[in-house]
Amino acid sequence: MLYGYAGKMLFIDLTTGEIEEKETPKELAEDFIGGYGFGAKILYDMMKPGTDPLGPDSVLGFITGPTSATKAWFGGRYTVVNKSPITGGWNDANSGGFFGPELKKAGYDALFIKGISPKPVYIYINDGKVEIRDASHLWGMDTKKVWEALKEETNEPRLRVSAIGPAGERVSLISCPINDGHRAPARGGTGPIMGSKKLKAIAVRGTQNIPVANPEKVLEINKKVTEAMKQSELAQAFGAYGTGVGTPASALNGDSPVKNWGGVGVVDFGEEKAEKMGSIALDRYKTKKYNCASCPLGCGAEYEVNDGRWPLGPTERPEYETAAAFGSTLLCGEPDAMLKCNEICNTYGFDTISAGMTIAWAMECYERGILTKEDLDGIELTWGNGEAIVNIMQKMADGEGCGAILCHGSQYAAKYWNKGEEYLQTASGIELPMHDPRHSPGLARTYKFDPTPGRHVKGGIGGVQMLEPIKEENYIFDGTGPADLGMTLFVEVLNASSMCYFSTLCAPPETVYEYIAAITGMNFDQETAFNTGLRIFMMRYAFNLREGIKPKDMTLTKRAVGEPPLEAGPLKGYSVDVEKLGRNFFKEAGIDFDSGLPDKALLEKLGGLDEVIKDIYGEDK
Amino acid sequence: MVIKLKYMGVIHDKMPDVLDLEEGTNVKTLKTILINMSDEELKPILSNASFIVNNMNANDDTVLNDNDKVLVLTPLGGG
Repeated sequence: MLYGYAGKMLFIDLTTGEIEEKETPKELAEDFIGGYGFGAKILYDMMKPGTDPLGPDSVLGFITGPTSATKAWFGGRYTVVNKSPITGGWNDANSGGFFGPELKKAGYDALFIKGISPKPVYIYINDGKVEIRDASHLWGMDTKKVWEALKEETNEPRLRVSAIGPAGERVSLISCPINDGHRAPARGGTGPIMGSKKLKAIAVRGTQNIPVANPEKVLEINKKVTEAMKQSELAQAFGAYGTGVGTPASALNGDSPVKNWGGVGVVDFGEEKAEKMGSIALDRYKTKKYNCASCPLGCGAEYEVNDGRWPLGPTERPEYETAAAFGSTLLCGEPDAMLKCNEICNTYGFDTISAGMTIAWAMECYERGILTKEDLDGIELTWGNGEAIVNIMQKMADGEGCGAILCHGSQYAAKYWNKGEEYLQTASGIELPMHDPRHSPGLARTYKFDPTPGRHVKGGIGGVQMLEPIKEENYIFDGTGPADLGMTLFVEVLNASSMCYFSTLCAPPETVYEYIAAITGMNFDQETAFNTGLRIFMMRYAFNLREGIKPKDMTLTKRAVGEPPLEAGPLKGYSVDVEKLGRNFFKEAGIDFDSGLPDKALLEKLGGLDEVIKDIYGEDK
Repeated sequence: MVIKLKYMGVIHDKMPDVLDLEEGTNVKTLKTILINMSDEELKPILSNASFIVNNMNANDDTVLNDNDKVLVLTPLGGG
């Protein structure tokens, strides 16, 4: 018995309609844990280099991990993996809610989909029974309505659904599926893969129990985590107000980007606007706390908004990333506009970070006279103009006029209009998330050089710096490799296990390893964790390398590293030597920065990477 | 000398917005004063807070002056 796993994986070809069930191999579980560990290995094996991400040979994965659907706290996430249509390289994005555990309880650790259906379809999985069903009647429906429609159609009120909205149907490059109405594996172009496959939704219902090697130990670890959570002020604050509790402080202390990464919070945005966009102020709309599956913290909340220019009725508390992307980044201190954009993104299926950042790019281009009123269908997209922001967002959602261009993200729009490229704020083409490397310098390495670029949920020293006041020693770039690699590999294991990043707010790192050991029965000590994390990292890295993407090819726009430095505010004068951080990191990881080649002996020592060694070094390994 | 204080995040509404301090007081001393007068649950938050004085980042050694405006911010990197 494979403890901690459903024991099966699904492989579906939407061109032929073939559904194949395979056992989850023990070696795969031991070597890659789950999540994007599984995903990177399987997509590497299934996809050839050069595959069109939007073509029939492109594979899309929905993957759980060993902590999912067990009693382990924070174990409720699932990961979507694919080749990014934006970067042309590896992509993964994860999401909370209840969809992941339900997929596993329905009998499957993972689901991999290739091919293109001739007509819209959805995949229905109910306790081991799998069908590809017609979705013609659901095409055009928003993500919340499709969830309700499918619950009724299947007569399963506890059905969980991950669905694209109209944005994904139009193959918008910054679209994404939404599960549970408002949770999103959003980043890097997950939605366009579903849209290109004519896959409207995956609907799951499961009641199976997952075998756990040492259930008493899991409960014992839970008690420890609960106690630690009570002692963590950060966890208490997130539990009370969600991630948006930090929005005002971040907007002013330099953590949040301001004015398309060109401004200064205390100067350009100000305290009044910053405070309005935080969840302490916004929680006047709160009706109910929301916890994802197996989460003792509960950073989510349901809102009821019946005032302002856009009375939305029931909606959700925006995450910090959303509040900053539609707030300080646009100099917008109008919370009703931000709440409306959040709702549009959730219903039409957009990545809120990329959507906000795309509007920020267009806004700066408009203010500088690069984009004209005519380009923007008559909309005066001036800094902080909430009504204009909502109008542009709605056009993106409807794929209408300039929205049909902007819905593919800022990089696409700059190429389409052939102007404004110098104002993009991206990592390898992906819009940057809402934590500024000038405040937390280690983030520059993570954003630029992680195989999944431009992410705030990947590891590295920046994740720790983000939680500290600005420190001069963080701007000394010598000797960062060991800590940067160590923290990266910890997050590799965390993400692959399907645990939430916020578990780190209230539990020491070894808790993740303890959960994995208790659930799977594997020996999972610090050394195993390091090697497993590095193996997973290498697999993602190798996917890019096989596509011809080496560290030197990865890009990060200049404002994010203080080139030139800001001239005012708390980050005045700071810049980040991201190349040095990258060289330190790759040297520690056993990868030659210039050639991009990983050390052959290291790959052999790690094991489980035979195909990678063969592709890089030939048959005679 | 008198300084003005403004707080963001969970410190909000629980702390003084004006303080009369001795000449030459630095941020480290101000932090200690605030921690000593705060509720128990705010002490760890204040000890890890960012201090921005007149729109510029301040460290423990930054000396405060009359009429300085001090922003006390909780570093809470949300996701």
